[in-house]
Amino acid sequence: MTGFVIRKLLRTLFTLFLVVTFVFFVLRLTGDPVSAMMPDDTDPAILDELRKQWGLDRPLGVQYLEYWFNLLQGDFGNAYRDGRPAIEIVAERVPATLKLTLTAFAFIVIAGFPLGIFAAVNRGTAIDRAIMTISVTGFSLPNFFLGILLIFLLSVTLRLLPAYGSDHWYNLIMPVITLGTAGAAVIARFVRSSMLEVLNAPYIRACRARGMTERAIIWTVALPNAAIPTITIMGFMVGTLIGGSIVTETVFAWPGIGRLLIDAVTARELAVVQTVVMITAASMVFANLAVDLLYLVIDPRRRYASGTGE
Amino acid sequence: MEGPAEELKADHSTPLEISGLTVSLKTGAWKCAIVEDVSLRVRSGEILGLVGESGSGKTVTCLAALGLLGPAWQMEGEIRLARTRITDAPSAGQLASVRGREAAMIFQDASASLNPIEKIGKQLTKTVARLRGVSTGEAREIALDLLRRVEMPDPEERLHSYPFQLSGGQNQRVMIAVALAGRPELLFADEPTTALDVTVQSQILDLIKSLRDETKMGVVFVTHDLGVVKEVCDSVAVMYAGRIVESGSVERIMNAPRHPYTLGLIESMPTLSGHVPEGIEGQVPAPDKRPPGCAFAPRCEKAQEKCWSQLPLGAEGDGGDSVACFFPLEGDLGRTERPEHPTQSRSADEPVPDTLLSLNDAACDYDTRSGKFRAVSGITLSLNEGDRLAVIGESGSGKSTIGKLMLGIEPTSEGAASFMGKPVPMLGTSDHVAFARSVQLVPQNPFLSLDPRATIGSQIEEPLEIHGIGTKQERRARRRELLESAGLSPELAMRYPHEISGGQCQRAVIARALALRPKVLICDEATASLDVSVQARIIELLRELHRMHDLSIVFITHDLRLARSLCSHVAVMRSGQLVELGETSPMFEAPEHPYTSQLLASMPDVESTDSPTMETTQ
Amino acid sequence: MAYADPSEAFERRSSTQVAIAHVIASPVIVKMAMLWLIMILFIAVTARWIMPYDYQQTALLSRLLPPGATGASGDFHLLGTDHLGRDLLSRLFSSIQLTMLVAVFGTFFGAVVGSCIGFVAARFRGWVDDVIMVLVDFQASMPFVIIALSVIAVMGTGNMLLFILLVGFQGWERYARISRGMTLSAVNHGYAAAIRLLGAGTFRVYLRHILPNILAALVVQVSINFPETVILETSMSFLGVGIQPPNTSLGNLLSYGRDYLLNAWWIAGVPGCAIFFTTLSMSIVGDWLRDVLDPTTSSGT
Repeated sequence: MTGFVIRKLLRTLFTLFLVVTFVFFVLRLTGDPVSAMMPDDTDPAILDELRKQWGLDRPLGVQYLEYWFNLLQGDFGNAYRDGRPAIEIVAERVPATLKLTLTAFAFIVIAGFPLGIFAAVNRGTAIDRAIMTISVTGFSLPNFFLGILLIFLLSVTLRLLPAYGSDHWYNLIMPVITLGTAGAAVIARFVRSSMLEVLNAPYIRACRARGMTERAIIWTVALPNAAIPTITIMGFMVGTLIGGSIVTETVFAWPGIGRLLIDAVTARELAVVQTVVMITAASMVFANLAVDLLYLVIDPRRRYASGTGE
Repeated sequence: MEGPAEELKADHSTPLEISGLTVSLKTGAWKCAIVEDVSLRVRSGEILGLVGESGSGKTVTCLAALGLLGPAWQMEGEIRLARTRITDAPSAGQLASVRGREAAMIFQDASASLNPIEKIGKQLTKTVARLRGVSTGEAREIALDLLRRVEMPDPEERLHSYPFQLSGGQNQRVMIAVALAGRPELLFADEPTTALDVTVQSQILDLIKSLRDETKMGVVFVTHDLGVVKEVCDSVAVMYAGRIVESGSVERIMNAPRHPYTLGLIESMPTLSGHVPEGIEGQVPAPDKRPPGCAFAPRCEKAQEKCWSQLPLGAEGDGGDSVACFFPLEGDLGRTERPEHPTQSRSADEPVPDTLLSLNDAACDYDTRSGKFRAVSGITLSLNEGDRLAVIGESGSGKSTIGKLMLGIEPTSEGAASFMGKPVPMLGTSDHVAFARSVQLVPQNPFLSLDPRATIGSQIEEPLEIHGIGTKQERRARRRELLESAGLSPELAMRYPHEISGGQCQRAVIARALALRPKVLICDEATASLDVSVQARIIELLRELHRMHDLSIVFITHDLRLARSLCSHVAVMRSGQLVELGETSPMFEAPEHPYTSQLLASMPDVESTDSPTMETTQ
Repeated sequence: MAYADPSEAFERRSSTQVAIAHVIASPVIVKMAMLWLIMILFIAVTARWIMPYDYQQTALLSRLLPPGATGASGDFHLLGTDHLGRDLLSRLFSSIQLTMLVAVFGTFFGAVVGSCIGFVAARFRGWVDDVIMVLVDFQASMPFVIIALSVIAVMGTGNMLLFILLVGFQGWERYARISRGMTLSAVNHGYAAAIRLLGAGTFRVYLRHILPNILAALVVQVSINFPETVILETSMSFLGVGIQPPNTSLGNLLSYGRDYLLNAWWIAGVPGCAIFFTTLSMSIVGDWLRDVLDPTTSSGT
C-alpha cells in the first residue's frame, strides 16, 4: 500500500515536471515572446535589447534551469503592462473562481447522482427516458449558449436576476447552472450505466435470492458498488469545471481566473497565461492523486491488490 | 392471476411442488415460452437432479420458483414451497419473506455472487440477523458456526476476508453458509461446482450431501454433468428445450434410460473406463423455433411422423418414473461391447515412430509486476508421431503453459522445446512461419479466435493464402474439402462467427487449423465451453482426424474422462510440475502418483459402480 | 440495445444494404437528427452559392431588423439583420461552412494522429509505450481548452490552419487509448493471436484483421468527438481567440448577439440554436451508431 502511494506521488511529481517543461517549451519554442509582446512596428534594435535584458539570448538549457529556479522561488514573472508579479494578479482572482467551481461541483453531484440512480432504478420506463433525454440535451448544450439563454430568460425577459455581478449569493445561480449542467448530465449518465451494470451483477441476484428487499439492495449493496467507478469521473469533472469556467466567467463577467486567462491571452500577457496554466495543471494533477488515494480508501480490492504488489 | 404468494398449510415433507409451470419471455408484442408445462416435486431430504444442456430451461425453472426472474418474464402454473404458493407477479414483501427462509439458492459463480466490497463476516452476519431476527452479536456467533459447518478452514480469520481474497471453492462454501442462514427447507443449487476444479468439486458435493443429511432439506441440483448427478442425486429430471422429457430414480435413469435424448446424453458422457462418447447430431432448437411436436424429433433417430406433429404427454419430475416419448426405449443401457480401446500398445516389431514435439527439462517464467513467476519447471515429455497426448491438470497447474512452449508462444527459461530435433522457433520470427505449417492450435474459446468481421470461409482459406498455397480456385476447392472434413456444410462458408453455434465455430477453427495439413494439433481445453452432446461430436471428429490423416494430438484438459476417451498417453500436471507420465489405460487402472489417484477418485463418472466419495470416506 | 434491431432480416446482405436497413429501422428521433446533419452538411458545402447576400455587406440603415423584415433598400431578410445591417441568413450559412470545415478537418486530423499514436504504442511496447501513455494520461487530466489557449497566447490569433489543427487535436488521447487497447487485446488473446499462429505477418494482422475490427470503435469515438470539437471551436471563437473577422464562425456570431439580447434576441438565438441542434443531432446519431455497430448487441447472441 505504501509502495502504491509512493508510486502515485512520484507520478504526480513527474507530471508536474512535464507541465512545467511543456509550458516552457511552448513559450520559448513556438514563438518569440519579445516580438509577440511588442507591437509589430517596434524597432529591431529595441527587440534585441529586450531579448538581452530578459536573458533570451542565452542557451536554451540555461534558460530552462533558470526558469525552474525562478518557479521554485514562487517567481512566475511579471505582467508587462503594470509590472506586478503575475502570481499576485492571479492569486487575487482565485477566490472568485473557487467559489464558482466548488458550488458548481456541489450542483453536479446533487443533481447528477440522484438523476442517474433514479433513471437506473426505473430503467426502461418513461422516467428513465425523460432523464436520459435531459442528459443528452444537457451535454449537447454549449455552455456559452446556455449562459446566454439564461440571461435572456431570467434577466432580460423575466427580470428575476441581474445578468452580471458577483457580490450576492443569487449572482451565483446562473453561472453555476451554466457551468454545472453539462457535468451533471455526464454524471447522471455515468451513474445510470454504472448502476445498471451493478444491478445486473450476479451478487445482486444472490442478494435477492436470500430475501433482501429491493430497497435494501439498491441502497446498501448496489449504490456503494456503483459509486466506486464514479470517482474517476469526479476527478475528470475538476478539469471540465476549470475549462468551463473560462466561458462561464466571460459570459457573466465573473472576476475569476478564467476571464483573466482570456484577457491575458488577448493582451498576450504571457507571464499571467503561464501562471494560470500551471495553477490549473497543478490542481488537476492533485485532483488525480486524490482520486487514486480515494480509491484506496473505499475499494478493498485495490487496497489489498496494491498491498501485495500483485 | 389469483392473489400473489398466499400462505399455505405448512407441508414440510414436500418443500417444493411445481405443477404445469410455463415461463415466457415477453418484450412488446413478442412472447416466447422458455419453460413449458414443467411439473416437479422434491421431498425433504431428497436431492433432485435437474439435468439438461444450455438452453434447456433448467436455471429459469429455479429462478421462477424464487420469483427471481425480471419484469420481462411471465409465469403460468403453480409453484408451492413449504408454506407459500408463488404465482405470477407476487408481491415484493412476500417474496422477500420466502427467499432465504423457505428456499435458498447458490449459484455457479460463487466469487461473483458475493458483494465484492463487503467482508465475508459482515455479509453473513447481516443475513443471519435478518433471517433469524437475532441481534448482531448473536448473529456473529451463528455466522462463525455456519462457516464451521461448511468446513471452512480458519473460520475466525475468514470472517475478516473479502471475497476476492478467497478461492472459488472457499467462496462457494461461504455461499452455502449464507444459504443456510435462514434454515431453508429447500436449496436450489445452480451448477454450484461447474467452475471448480475436480478435487474441490468433490469436496463441495460431499458437503452438500452431508448438509442434506443433517438438515433434511430438499435440494434441486441443476447440472449438465451426468457424472455429478450420479454422485449426488437421488432422483433425476431431464430437461430438453424447456420441457421435462424424462424423470425417475438415478439408478433407473442411468441404467435404463427410456427417452432417446436421455440415452444420447448418457452416451455423450466420456467415462473413466474409456467409453467413447457419441454425441447427438444437430442442436437444441432456439426457444422461438421449437417444432410443434416433440422438440427432440429433429435430432431423434427413432422419430416417426407422429413425433413431428404431436406433443407427447409431459413427464413429471416427481420422483416416479415417467417419460415424454411416444416410443420409449426398453431394457437396460447394456453397454456390453467394450469400445475399441484407444490405448493399444504397439507391438514390439513395429518401428519406433519419430518424435515430433519434445520438451527437455523445460521451465517457463512469466514476468509479473512483483518479479518472475515460474509457471512450469523440469518438464520432460515428448509426442511421437501418431500419439495423442493428454496434458491433465487443475487450474494453475501449468498445463496451458506446456501448449505455449510447444507452439513457441512462450520461450523456455530453462531446458528446451524442440520440434523434429530442432528448437521450436519463437512466434514472430521468420522460422516460425514454416513451423506453423506443422503445428497448429485449437484454443478453448472458438468465438474469440475467429475474426468477428470475416466470414468463416475466408478465415478457413486464410492460412493457404498466407503460405501462398494453390490458386484461388484450388483454395476454394480445398476450403470445401476442409469444411466437409470438419463436418460443416459448405454454405456456412458465407456466415460470420456470431451467426453460427459454438460447436460449429469450434469445427471451423479445427478446419482452419487443418488447412495447412499440420502434423500436430494442440487442443487447449478445446471442448470446455461446449455442451456435452456437442463435445462428444468434437471428440469424435478429433478421433476421426487422427485415424484418417495420421494427426498427432496434444489434448490439454481438466477432464480425465476426455483424456481417457481420446488419448493414448497422459501427462499429469500439478503446480507446474509433471507428476506422472505414461500410457493411458495402465495409468488409469493403476495410477502411481497419489495425486493422480486423487484426481481419478474425484472425477464424477456415469459408469462408476459406487460413488468416488464413498471410496475416500472408507 | 434501445436502438438495435437484432432481427435476422439483416443477415446475408451486402454491407450497404445492411446499413440502409439499419437507417430505415432507426427511431424517428434519429432520423430527424440525421436529416438535420445532412442539411447542415449541404449548407456547409453549398454556402457560397445559396447565401442570398454577401455576408460581409453592411447596411447601416437596415440595422437590427427582425426576422422576415424588409430592409431600407427593399432587401428581404429571412432571419433579420445584425448590428451592422448584415443579412443574418447569409452570415449563418457562411458561419456553418467555417464551423463545419474546422470540425470535419480537425476531427479527421485528430482521429488519424491519435489512432496512429495508439498503434505505435501497441506495436513497439516498452519505453515507447510508457512515454505515450504518460502523455495520454496527462492529456486526459488537463482541460484541452487551457492547452489550446496557451498555444494561442504565444502564436497569436488569426492563423486558421494552426487553429484547425489545434482544435482537431482535442481528444487525440482517446483515439490513442482505444487503438492501443483494442490492438493489444486482439494481439494477446483473441483472433489476432490465432492468425499469427497460422504464420501471418504483422501487416496482414493489423490491416486485414485488427483495423476493420477497431474501425467501428473509432467511428463511434469520432461521433463523440465531433460535437466536442464543434463546441471547442465555437467556444474559442465566442471568446474572441478562435476564428477572427472578417471570417466568421457560429461562435463569433453568437458573441455579437450577446450584446443585443435586449432588443435583437435573434442575433444570438439563431446561431446558438444552430450549434445546439448540430451537437445534439450528432450525439443522438452517435448513441445510435454505438448500438448498431456494437457486434455484441447487433448479433443477438
